[in-house]
Amino acid sequence: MEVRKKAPASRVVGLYLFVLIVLSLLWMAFSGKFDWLHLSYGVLSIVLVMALSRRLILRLDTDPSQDWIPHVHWGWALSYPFWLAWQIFVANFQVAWIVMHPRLPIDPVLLRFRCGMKADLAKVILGNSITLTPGTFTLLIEDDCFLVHCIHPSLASGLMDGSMQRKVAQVFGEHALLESEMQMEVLRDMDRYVEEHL
Amino acid sequence: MIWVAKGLMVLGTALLFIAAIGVNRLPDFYTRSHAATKPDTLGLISLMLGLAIYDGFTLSSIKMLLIIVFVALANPAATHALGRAAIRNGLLPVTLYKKSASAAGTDDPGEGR
Repeated sequence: MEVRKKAPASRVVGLYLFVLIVLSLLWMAFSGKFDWLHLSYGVLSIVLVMALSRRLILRLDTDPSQDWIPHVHWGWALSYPFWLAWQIFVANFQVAWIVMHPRLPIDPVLLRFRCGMKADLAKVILGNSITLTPGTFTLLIEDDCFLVHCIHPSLASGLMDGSMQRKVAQVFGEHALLESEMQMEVLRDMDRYVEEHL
Repeated sequence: MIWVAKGLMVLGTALLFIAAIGVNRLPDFYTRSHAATKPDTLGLISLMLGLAIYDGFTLSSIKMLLIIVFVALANPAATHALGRAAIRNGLLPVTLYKKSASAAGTDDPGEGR
């Protein structure tokens, strides 16, 4: 276990305050009651949640190789959810069509590629987007190497030409890999792959 | 507006229904987890959106919108955790869906060795 750099006290306090404010707003939105009894329940549960997740909160700020919030390009970050929602909408009906088709035309493959991103948050967003988009889901992320299960290759066109990777890279101001640099592999003989690599 | 809400609710329940069918029809763990999570996400999102519009701007509609956010965050994380655990423990995905295999009645071609 590597020794983690201690975060400066001011940033730790700032983090706790941030989490406190978010949790308080959530409590008030969910309870909708502002008398002393309900608010005191809220205080109790917020303290409990923060005590249980204190390692997680501190972890946000103690990895020296990572910025807590990478350099986000907010213009792209605001438009990205809408683009993703449209992708989810379209691909959902494609999966529904496959499922309802009498012959069940599935052709499962594994995809393996490099995304070339450094920030953990960027990789998390890409992995989550892949999983949210029907037809593909992230199995493993090792460094910047993604292993993705795909129910039919036609549903993974956005991944294979790298357009989804480029969108995420834009949001985080990272350098997107060219198509030739991704080392995209379509693995059909999955039994052999699993035997070789796992 | 009320018809938009009703349309969204019908779409949502239809997608949830298709997801349930998919879980039953697909052959192995990996393909099933596609059906178990994906149409579910859009189904739940449109159902909640429909209910929020139906309700108008109230506290409970804000809660429903928050549910959408939490589902959109938690669903892929849970799916990834399941898939990662499965492939790390050597559960083999079905290589190619063979019509002959399904006709012969092999139930789980993706079962690990």
